[in-house]
Order: sequence, then structure tokens, then C-alpha cells
Amino acid sequence: MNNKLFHTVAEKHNPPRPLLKNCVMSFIFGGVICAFGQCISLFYLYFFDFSEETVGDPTVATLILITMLLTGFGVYDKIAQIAGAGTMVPVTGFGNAVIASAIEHKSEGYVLGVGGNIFKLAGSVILFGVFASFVIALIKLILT
Amino acid sequence: MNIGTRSFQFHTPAVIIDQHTIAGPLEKQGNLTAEIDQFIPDLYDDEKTYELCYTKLIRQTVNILMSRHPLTTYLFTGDLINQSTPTHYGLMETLLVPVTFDHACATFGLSLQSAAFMLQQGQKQTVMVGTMSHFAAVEKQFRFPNEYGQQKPPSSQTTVTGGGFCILATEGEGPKITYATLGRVINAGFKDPYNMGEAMAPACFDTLLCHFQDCQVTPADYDYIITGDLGAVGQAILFDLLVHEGYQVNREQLIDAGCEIFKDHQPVMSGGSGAGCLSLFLLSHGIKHLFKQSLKVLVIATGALHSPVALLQTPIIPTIAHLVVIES
Repeated sequence: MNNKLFHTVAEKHNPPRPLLKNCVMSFIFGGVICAFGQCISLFYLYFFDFSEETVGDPTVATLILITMLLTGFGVYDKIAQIAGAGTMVPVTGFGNAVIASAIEHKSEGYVLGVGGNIFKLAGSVILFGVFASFVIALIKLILT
Repeated sequence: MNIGTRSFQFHTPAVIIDQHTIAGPLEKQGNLTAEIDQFIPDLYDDEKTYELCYTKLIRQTVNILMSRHPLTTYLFTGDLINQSTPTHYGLMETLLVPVTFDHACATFGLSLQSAAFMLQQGQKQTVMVGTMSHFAAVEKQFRFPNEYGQQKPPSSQTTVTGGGFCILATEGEGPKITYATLGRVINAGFKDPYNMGEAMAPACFDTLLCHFQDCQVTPADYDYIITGDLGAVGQAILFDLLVHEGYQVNREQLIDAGCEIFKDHQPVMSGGSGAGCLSLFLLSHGIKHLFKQSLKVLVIATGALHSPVALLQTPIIPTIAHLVVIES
């Protein structure tokens, strides 16, 4: 078999990813999500007893609640097909990865299904996120 | 009778005498709405899980054919979920003997060939053949959770929900299977699971070349070359490979079931795929429209033989393609 020929012909017919469109879309969607998050922050700052430092927690919780509803109603994945990194990079992307896995494996029971698979996709973010913060903390400790 | 290296001629042609097709909601909006026998309203169809819905699709279709042909004993099939569980669970209440294959989307081709071999032996008057796939159940098995927000590239394909089963007999009215060429496992060095077309086109090309050499024929001897689920990308690659090899082939001669099932504006990227893709197209549009005329058609089912675990351990996508000649 002539693998070189196969790869040359395949290269010719591979539809390229629409990089420019994807970048613009992720910029717009990601920006809108972050601006919306800022609005939620301001809402909590003005109407509730939160400070600039503590407002992050309820804001993230609200964004994840909205993500959960959108994922559960089957809308989030359709938005993500257009938005790409725009919906994946903010905290909503992490929320979606957790919630989508939980919904998918509910059919196998709550303990082995949901419990065992909920961090199937998000697990590596948690592991390497925690590890990275540990390393950064060590560096900070040494330098200061 | 064995011809050449991997081809066979059937002296007792296997005749497709009856069929039943079923499909999901997205396929209902596609090109074959008028020709598919039955539709399900959503991907659950009143079942609790996607896998149970997959089982129900198979059970319903098999039961309908069994009520019309109660003497059938063997079913040649296979599906995409672990050890063909939807098929085996779906057959619990029937007397059918399952002969299941694990050739992914090429299963329908191998099933047709094996059924034709059995009829050739004169052991049985009728056998059942068919395949089914279910978008959400397959997505869960091979990719990410269904609701996960991931951007798919334009080369990716969408698994068809649905499929078809048929009854093959030694005599009767209908299109006949006259030749078969069995495929071998091909590794062309492709490893992108979101581009099955480029991985499967070389296997399809290999089986086609083998058939042309074994049977001393060319594409001009056939009215159409129907491929299973190469998609727009794989079909274009196959066409170029055939032309490069020096075969006179017409672009209109190539039909891909994955491209035909859906309309252009539907969100399926490069086309449909799945074990049920070819059986759905062939047993709906094929039987009810194409084979009404006198035709000689090459039908090639192509399949990728990787699993998500295997792909992570060894980044290779082995592929296979099985061919039958159908004459009407």
C-alpha cells in the first residue's frame, strides 16, 4: 500500500478548520460570557453584602448554575459548536464538562455511574490545576 | 466459487426479498423521508436510556420481519456497542440465532457476504441480515458525553440513528447479491478520530482494486459504486485514488450513503456514518428507487476498527472494507 500517496491525496481534500471565523466567534462569545459575569459581580456588590474579594464565589456559582440549565436542556453543546474556545475557556466550560458527564452516566446509577464518571473530563483539570498551584506556591515560597 | 485472492462468485444468488427500515428525527428531515418505513420521535423513544432505545430499534425491526418470515433462523448482524449488547438484548424474546460481527461500519457488508455464503451452501431458504446504529449511544461509547460542548471539525461525521434489516432468500423477486470481495485490515497511518473519511478511503480503495483484479472488471462495468460512510472527504479521496490508478470513473458513479441520507444544510459536517448508515440507505432508497431499474452496483461497506482506549494507547486507526455486487 502506498501510504505516501494516501496522505498526499488526503491532504488535498481535508477541509481546513475555519480558523479566523473560530477565533472571532470565540472572542465574541468568550467576551460576552465574561461581560455577563462582570454584570453578575456588580449585581452582588450593589445589592448584597459582598466585597471585591468575596464577590467571585457567588458569581462563579451563578454562571455554573446557568451552564447547568443550558447543558441539561441540550442547548450548551449547540452554542459550543459555534463558540468553540469561547464557551470552553471560561468557568462555564468546566461546569459543562462536569455536568455533561453526570447527565450521561446517570443511567448507570448514582454511585458507580454519576459518582464514578462525573470528573471523567474535568478530572485532569482538577489534578493538574492543583499540582500547578502547588508548584507555583513552592516557587513563591523560595523566591520570597 | 473462489475467484482470485479474496473474491467469490455466488452461483445461487442471494435475493433481497423483504426489508424494513427505521430512523431517527434528524434522518426524518433528510433526503430519504418518503422511503424509510418507520421513524422514532426522539433519541429515547420512551425508553430510559440511549442503549435501551438502540435495543428497541433492533427488536422492533427484527420482530416486524419475523412476523412476515417466521421460518428464518439466522440473523447476520453486529452493532457498535460493547459485544453487540443492543443486538443480543434485542433478540432475547426471539428464536433467532445471532451471528454478530465487530467490523464497525463495515459490518453490513460482511453480514451480507456471510449470509450469501450460507445460502450458497443450501443449508437455509431464508436468512436475515441487517445493522442498526444510534447516534447518542455511539457518541457515548466512542467520543465525549452527548451534552459536552465541544467544537467538531468540518471533517467529522455524524452517526446515523437508524438502519435496516432484510431477508435474503435463495429464490424470489428482488435485487441479487452475485459477487463478494472480502476486505483486509489496512493501516494507512491516519490517526485523527474526527476524520474517518481519510482513514477508511484507503481500505475501500484496496478492496475495490482487489475486486477489479480478481474479477477482471473495471468501474465502467458497473452503474454505481455505493460506499457506506466515507463522507464528503473520503469520497473525494477515493475518487482521486481511482483516477490516479488509471481507472475511468465518473464522479456521478460514486454514491456515498452517508452523504445521501442528510440534506446539505443539516448539521452533520462531512456526512453520516455508523453501522446503520449503509443498511438504511440501501434498504430504503436502494430497494425502493435505485434497484427498480436494471442495475449492476458495487456496494462497499467501510469501517474503522479502533476503540477509544486503543487509540489513546497506540495512535493508529486500522480500517476495513467489504464489497458485494448487487444486480437487479
